[in-house]
Formats: sequence, C-alpha cells, structure tokens
Amino acid sequence: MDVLGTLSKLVVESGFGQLFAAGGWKYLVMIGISCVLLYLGIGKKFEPLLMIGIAFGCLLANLPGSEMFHQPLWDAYIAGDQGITFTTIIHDGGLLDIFYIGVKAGLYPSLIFLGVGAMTDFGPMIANPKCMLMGAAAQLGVFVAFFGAVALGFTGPQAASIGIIGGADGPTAIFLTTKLAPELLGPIAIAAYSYMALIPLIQPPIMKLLTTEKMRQVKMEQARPVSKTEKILFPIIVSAFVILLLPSTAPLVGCLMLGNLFRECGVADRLSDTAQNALMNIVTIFLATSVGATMGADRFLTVQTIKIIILGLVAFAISTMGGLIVGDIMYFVSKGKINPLIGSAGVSAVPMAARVSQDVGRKSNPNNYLLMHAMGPNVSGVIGSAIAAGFLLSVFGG
Amino acid sequence: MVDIGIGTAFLAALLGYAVDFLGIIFLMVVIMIMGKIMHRETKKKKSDAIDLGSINVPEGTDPKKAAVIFAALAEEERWGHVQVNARTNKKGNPMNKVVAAIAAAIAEEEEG
Repeated sequence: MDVLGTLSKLVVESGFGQLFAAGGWKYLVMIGISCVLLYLGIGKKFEPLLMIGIAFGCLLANLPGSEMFHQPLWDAYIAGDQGITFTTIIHDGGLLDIFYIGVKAGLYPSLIFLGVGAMTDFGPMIANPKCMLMGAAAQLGVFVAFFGAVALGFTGPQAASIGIIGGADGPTAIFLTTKLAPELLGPIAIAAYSYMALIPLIQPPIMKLLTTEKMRQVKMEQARPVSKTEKILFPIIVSAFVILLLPSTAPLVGCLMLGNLFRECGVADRLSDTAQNALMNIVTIFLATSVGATMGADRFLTVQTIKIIILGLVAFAISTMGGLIVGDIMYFVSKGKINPLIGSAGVSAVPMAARVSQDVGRKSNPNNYLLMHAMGPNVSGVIGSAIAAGFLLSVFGG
Repeated sequence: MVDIGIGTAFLAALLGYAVDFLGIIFLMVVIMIMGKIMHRETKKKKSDAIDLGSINVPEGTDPKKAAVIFAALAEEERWGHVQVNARTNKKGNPMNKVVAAIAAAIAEEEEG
C-alpha cells in the first residue's frame, strides 16, 4: 500500500485541501461573512431567530466537501431540465437541498404567515381603518427600488424581488424572490432581515426630518373597542376580498388570515398556539438554514450583492418616508388629531416599526402612548406588502 | 417581461403603487361598512336590553355578589344561553329569582 500517496490523496480531497486550492479563498471569505452574521445575530441581537439560522446555513454550504447544498442541481431544476424534480433532489441532494424544497415550493413563507396571523391582533386596524392608508403609502419604497433596480441593469423579475425588500416583510420577500429571481435569494434575504433589525437606527432620523416637534407631541384619542364578531369576520372578509383582487397573493394572505381566524374564533386555541409557537419555530429553522445555504461564494461575492444591499436601504428609507408623508397629510386633514409618527410603522416589520413610533413619540411627549395606534398602519403594511408582492408576481411571474 | 426598459419600469411602478393603494382603500371601505353595521347592531341590542340595575334584587342579597352574577349572566346572554332582555331565563324563571338562587347557593357554599 502506498501510504504517502493515500495520505496525500486524503489531504487533497479533504475540505482543508479544497480551501487552499485555486479559488478556495472565496470559501474563506464566505466563512468570514457567516461569522460576521453570527456575531450580528448573537452579539448584536439583529433578528437572532433568523440571522443565526441563515448564518449557519451559509457556513455549512460554504465548507468545501460538506455536500449539504447543491446549487447546480437547483440551477438545472430552475432551467427546467428534464428529469430534475423534487424527487431527484431528495434522492441526490444534501440535507439543506431537502430543506430548500420547502422554500422553493413556497411552503415555509406561507407557514410563517400562518404563525404571524395567529400572533397578530388586527383590532387597532379594524378600530381605525383610515390608518390603513399609511400602510399602503409605506409601500412606496418597493416601487421606487424596483424602478432603481431596473435603472441599474437588473431584469424585471430581479428588480421586483429587490423592490420587495422595501415591504420590510421577510417571508414576503423570500416568497417573491423564490418565484421570480431565486438566484438572488441569499443577498435579498440578508438585506431584508438586516434592515428589519436596523429599523430603530434607520427610521428615527427620517421621522424627525419629516415631522415637526408639535406634530410628534400629538396625543391620539383612544380607539373604539372592537367586538369579537368583527374580529372573526375580518379574516374571512380580507381573504375573500384580497384573493379575489390578486389571486397570486392567495398562499400568503390565505395563511395569514387563517392563522388570525384560529386566534380570534375562540374555539381553536390549540391550533392558534401551535401556529404561533411550535410550528413557527420549526419552520423558522428550516427556512433560515436553507436560505443561508443559497449564499454560495459564486453567487454572493458579486457587485450585484452590493447593489442589492444599497437598493434595499433606499427601499426601506423611502417606504418610511411614504408612510410619514401620508401621516403628515392625515395630521392636517384631521386638524391635528392624528400623530404622523404612526405613519412610519406602515412598513410592516411587526411590531418593531410600531415600537419605534412609540419610542420617538415618547421622546417628544413622555405621556404619549402611540403603540396601539401605530399597530394599525403596521399590520395594514403586512397586507399592503402582500398586495405589492401579488402585483409584481402577476406582472413578472407569468 | 424579463428585460424591461426604464419607461416600462416607471409605468409598472406607478401602476403597482396605484393597485396597492386602491386595494387597501377598497378594503378600508369594506372594514368601515362592517364596523358601521356591527356598531348599529350593538347599539340596537343596548337599546333593547333592560337596565340590569333596575332589576329588584331580593332583599338580603349582597349587592356586590349580585353585580358579579349579573355580569356573568350578561356574558351568558351574549352567547344566547339566557335571555336577560325578557327578564327570564330559558326555563322561564324570572331573573331576580335566578340571581337570588345563585347568591343563596354561593352563601351556602361559603358557610359550609
């Protein structure tokens, strides 16, 4: 037996060998990036439930020889190569390939929405439906970033996927990107979740820029109580209405409203509890690790990624502006009864954006409690971003 | 529509924002109408319902206890189990008798 030859072969074929082979530096950079993301998730608590999974998925997929995720297999599937089906992927793929089937099939984002629906109280929005206008206005960034992305040379479907970062809604961004531009899933997911975590840093300067001290001090009247019947009817009406308007939103809106119905009907507490806890946690693990796995070195280390990160920030900032501008208009129309700060919460990111409205409001008036008022635009932003995604999907998905 | 020009992108963005706004506005109107109907129903129920405070509670009943029982009965009425409006429960017993009976049962349990 050729001992030296065998040892040499082992070294060359090992992950270490591949790391230091030609082009191996890319793996090292990606391992470095995954460590930075792990630090942001654990050390800085940036959306840790997702960031840790994404970072670790990225780490696993970029360890040479791990064979956890096979990008060429998915490229062949997307290209419509005959013979490449989910069954082939289960047979030939690695563990993260199997997890990724749930992303590709649109399963995980929909199940996350089921949990979000079970966790969300739409009462503040039902009590004050006018605040929904701010949720609609706060989708401005989606369409401005879409336009900007086309101007920067992205294709229509890619631009639509980048634009939806402005919706500040992770599952919607992942859902749309998987359908329209799966090759950009890694950077888009990272941008969406990073900026959602950075909302307390991004929004306050814009809020102060677009409102006066007098506006920020406005104390809003307590909203009317919402009856149980209204809360039960709401998910049924919204599902029927939004899905009839934009059928492509059915998986997201349908699951969101089903989860909410579990919560509000009062006779399905076990299902509501499962949707918002156990199921949500399990799906989060699968979703995060498989999205992280798509961050292969060849895909991620490109100029496109930098453009996406910049466009994502622009989308977030402009969405915040859109909500605030309509908030300002409503302040004047209501003769000073509406605090425009709640407009910034229209960017979704439930409930972080509403908390930011509350914090900025309290800095101007320590007796001000805007949280429940801000929850109205906040949850209507979720519906608004689902409508925006539905529109983009119907335009570019066909 | 894969590669699109700036003009088309601008139109798509404008149309998308308009659809988003219109969708939300329609939804807002539907919710407002639902709210109005529900509010009217609640108001109607309130005007039909008797003033619980006007029911004569039998002498000797602790007023606090009676209030708690009335609150519980009002909740039961909401779900259609009793009919406070008609001053009788579904068996036809007057409500003040029901209250007295419950109060007596509670008092008995407390003593025991």
